[in-house]
Amino acid sequence: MGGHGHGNEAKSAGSDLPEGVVRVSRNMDASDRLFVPAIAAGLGQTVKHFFTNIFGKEKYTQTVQYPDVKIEYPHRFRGMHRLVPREDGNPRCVACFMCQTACPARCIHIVAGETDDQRIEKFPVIFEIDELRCVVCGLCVEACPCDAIRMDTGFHPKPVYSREDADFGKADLLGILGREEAKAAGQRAKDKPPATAAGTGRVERAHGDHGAGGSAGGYDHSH
Amino acid sequence: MPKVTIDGRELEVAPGTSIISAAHANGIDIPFYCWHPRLSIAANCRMCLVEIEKAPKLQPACEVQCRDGMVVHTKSKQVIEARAAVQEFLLVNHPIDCPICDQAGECKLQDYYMKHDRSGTRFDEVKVPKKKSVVLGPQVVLDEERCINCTRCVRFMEEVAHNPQLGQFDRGDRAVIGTFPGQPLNDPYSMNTVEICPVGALTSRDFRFKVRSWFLKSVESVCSGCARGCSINLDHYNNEAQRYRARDNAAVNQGWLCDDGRLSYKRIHDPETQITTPHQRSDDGRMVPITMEQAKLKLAELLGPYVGETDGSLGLTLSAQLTTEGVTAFVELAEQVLQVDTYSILGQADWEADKLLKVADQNPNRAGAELVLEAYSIFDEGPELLKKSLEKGAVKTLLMVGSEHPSHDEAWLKALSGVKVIAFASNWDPTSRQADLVLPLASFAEQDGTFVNFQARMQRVNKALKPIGARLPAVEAASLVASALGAKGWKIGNWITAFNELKKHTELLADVSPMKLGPFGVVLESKTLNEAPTQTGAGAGVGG
Repeated sequence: MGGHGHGNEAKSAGSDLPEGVVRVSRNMDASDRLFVPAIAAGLGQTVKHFFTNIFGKEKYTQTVQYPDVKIEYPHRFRGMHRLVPREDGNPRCVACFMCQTACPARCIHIVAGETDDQRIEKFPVIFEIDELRCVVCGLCVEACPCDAIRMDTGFHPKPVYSREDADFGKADLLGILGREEAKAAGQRAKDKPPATAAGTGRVERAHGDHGAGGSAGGYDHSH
Repeated sequence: MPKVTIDGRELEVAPGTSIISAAHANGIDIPFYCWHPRLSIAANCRMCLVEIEKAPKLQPACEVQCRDGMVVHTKSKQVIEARAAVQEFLLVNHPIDCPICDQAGECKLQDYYMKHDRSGTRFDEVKVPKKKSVVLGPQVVLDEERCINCTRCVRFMEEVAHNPQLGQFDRGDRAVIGTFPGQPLNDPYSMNTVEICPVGALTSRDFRFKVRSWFLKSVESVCSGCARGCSINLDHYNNEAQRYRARDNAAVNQGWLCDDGRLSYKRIHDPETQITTPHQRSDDGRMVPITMEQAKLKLAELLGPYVGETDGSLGLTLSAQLTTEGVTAFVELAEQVLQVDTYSILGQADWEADKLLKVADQNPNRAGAELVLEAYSIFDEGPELLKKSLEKGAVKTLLMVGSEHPSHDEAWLKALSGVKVIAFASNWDPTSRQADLVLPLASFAEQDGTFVNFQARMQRVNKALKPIGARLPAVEAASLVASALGAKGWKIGNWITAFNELKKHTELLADVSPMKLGPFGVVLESKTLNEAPTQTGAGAGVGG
């Protein structure tokens, strides 16, 4: 009722409407004002769906039976980030802190260290991403001067049982494959068992990802 | 007095003033790398070139002195082109490894590139490779590729440290800075070279790769390493002190710091020994953590007998590491609430003084603590007399504010074991371990206040960090004791009220306002608070 009262008041002072704004009157007849017929119609629809879904041949069900069934993501979905390894399996990251600086969610935590390798000099001793904080904005990827962090995996962070588990460390982030690489690894698997990349465990990990009971069962490549 | 016109502004300057000094003093910016106000002039970077009318070529503003009638242009087309060219030239062989360079964010090459150059590289050749991360000494690492050969470090070691351990070797694009065979850069002032390096060539091994410079926040403070009280910028991140940078205070440190002082920031947070919660000695002799409420009850139990009429057996020790206001608050506590009969200023043991900055007394505020006791006409027993009083039994309860002691020797600890000890302390040391009740005390970086150095210069210490754990600034610690004892009319709630309370008791502070000490502090007039150690180095060192 209050709403209608306002409407009438506004109408009486309606001459001050800005140009281009049209006031539309909401014509409600007696049955609309009672609401009861509308409620009955809505309930009828619900009951119809209920029985159709149980006994009918064509069901109305929209629910996807996750995780048995998965919806294919759009091709441009980037997904969770990963650290890109060098050939020796160590991360490309030089601990320049550009990603940490760019990160609006402050979810990246790096501790830098020094190596004896003069070509590298600086490397991340700790590289952690708090997946609970990450907003998957991709600014870290933009900021990285050496393409050490990418968002090309096409899947979510796995669900975790504690906050600590959501802090993904260097090994976790290195162990993930990009969408294309995973695909390539998967295709190779059809021909013959892949030679595991010694030291990195990368290929092994990727297969675990595909299997239902793999060690990193939470990672799911839904491409 | 020569009159010189710079960019159309007529300036009158002292004879002998360089153009760059005259310009900077009047807010005209002239870029520079190799020039340093406290070092001799090298004029080798060529970044400060300016146009002087009637001179055939551009002249370096750092080297040319102002002469009467001189007309200087710092923004003419020729100058701007020259700066861009110099900048481009300096970057020809620069590795541009800013992502892993500690200097990034506070680097002149970066700043001036954005301001004076901003062109893409035209250099098609191969850059001259040089050595990266060359360890020069215990504190300093050199990256030869980043060096622009301004020779500031070489001149510092020669002219200020008087220890020419650095030299320039080779010529042309192969020129490098280096040490001599078998002679590392191990001078106790070597870290100043890191600070004055305008680029990332010299980096500190301590600070290296710790924090990127743009994450740091900075406050003006005073080095607590010794009684010199060098002016510093305390850079902190994540509520932890990360490094000290020298601040140029002509009367104190002339922009230098000794390495020991520079690294003394580590005393603020020592995760091994820091005290962050109150502790009480349990029946079996162990120290057990307790809550602040329990600590207050214990305080009331131990100090309650000393309110009003007492047997005069309460002693109060004040650390020379406390701020002047902290000392004042506890002396006021003794005046207003507790009956204290024995006072003593304790502090850390002396270390070896040197001829430049370091003085023997490791305590930044002994003069301040003495000033307070003098203002209240209190006799300072010092560590030796106090020990005798403890041994005689004249003191039965000892309230210690700061657990520093010159030696923590066995005789002292034995004397302590006979009495009840309440200690406000920042770190576990033999003395605080001996106490019956320990309360956490904030370090100087965790509170506001003032330090008085051995030359009677009062300087402002700004709060940089939130007190870790339950650590209390000294003034609040005094308030805690007052409230634990149920004192009525206790009004000293912060450092300014403590300062004003002290002001009522001494003429020295008559003209001093706590908020108007400025960045360099003020000398408390007509007062030789401490015997000044022989000191010629500091003045002579900056002659250049």
